Amino acid sequence: MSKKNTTTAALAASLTGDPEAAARVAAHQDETRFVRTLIDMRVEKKLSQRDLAKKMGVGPSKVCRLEASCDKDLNLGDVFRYLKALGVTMSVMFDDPSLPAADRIKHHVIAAHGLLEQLRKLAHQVGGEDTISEKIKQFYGEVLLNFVIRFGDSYSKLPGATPIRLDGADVPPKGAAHHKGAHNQLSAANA
Amino acid sequence: MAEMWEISEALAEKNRFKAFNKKHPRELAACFSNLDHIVELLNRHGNVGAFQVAFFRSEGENLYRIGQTGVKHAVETRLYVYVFTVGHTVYVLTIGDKTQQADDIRRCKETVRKFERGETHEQEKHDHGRAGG
Repeated sequence: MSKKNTTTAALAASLTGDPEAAARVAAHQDETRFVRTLIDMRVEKKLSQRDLAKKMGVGPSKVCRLEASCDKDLNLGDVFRYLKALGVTMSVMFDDPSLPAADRIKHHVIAAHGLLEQLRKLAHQVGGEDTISEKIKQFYGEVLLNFVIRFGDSYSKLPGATPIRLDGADVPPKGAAHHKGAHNQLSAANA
Repeated sequence: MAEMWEISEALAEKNRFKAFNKKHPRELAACFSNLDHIVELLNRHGNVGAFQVAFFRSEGENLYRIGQTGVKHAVETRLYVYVFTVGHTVYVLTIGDKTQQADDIRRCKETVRKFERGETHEQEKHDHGRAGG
């Protein structure tokens, strides 16, 4: 059967008979990941390049050039203008791989806490009875459950650690946690 | 759940890909990377009319060209694909540079017409699959 579920990298290697073509495709994908995200956000907002250029106050060719760049050639000012025109804000997280793992984890925990606080404030703004507020509460449960599952999994693999179990909780597939009040069902075997 | 789009090399001119890769490997890689992006957009938005991306242009009759991006001093490259909406499949056809484009488009359109008339082995297989499934 000629119809295949294949990656484009594998397809490039197959059509050219050159295994290195696959690595070149993967490298290009890495080098344009950020630009790709920008395009995806514009498409998601149902804006053409022309629409966006108008909002940015530039000519369409400027947007066209930006979207045809690779990440390292982007101009930060252009990116800010592009995002502003989309109505999107950008938060930058610097990750220094030379720092100890503990410091990097703290940094991520603080960032996640900041985002959760933003959601909490939103819930207060819309009021307790609102659907958005309900969804935020539900999401908090999901985040907590996901965190405990992943933390427990890593912790259990430490030498000499007592495994953490989730009594009575159905462990959902990766990324699909959906448990209201899930934190009530958690118990650590070593508590 | 919507049917996922697939990519097929069944109608591809393999010799052209081999020859082009020898001369312009970076441009070829960029085109395939952009093809990946197009398939992702099709999976997310359902059809080609739902998005506008500069490196993806219609040549008519469901034939599209995908250009290279992010390559310095690149040769203007076109990867030609046929978007078969009914079968949720993107057929990769050929690759070439700007100087060959008129000839490439003519040949690709012939291939697409043959496919749509059911004159290719690939279309027969598709029809059988539908009848059976």
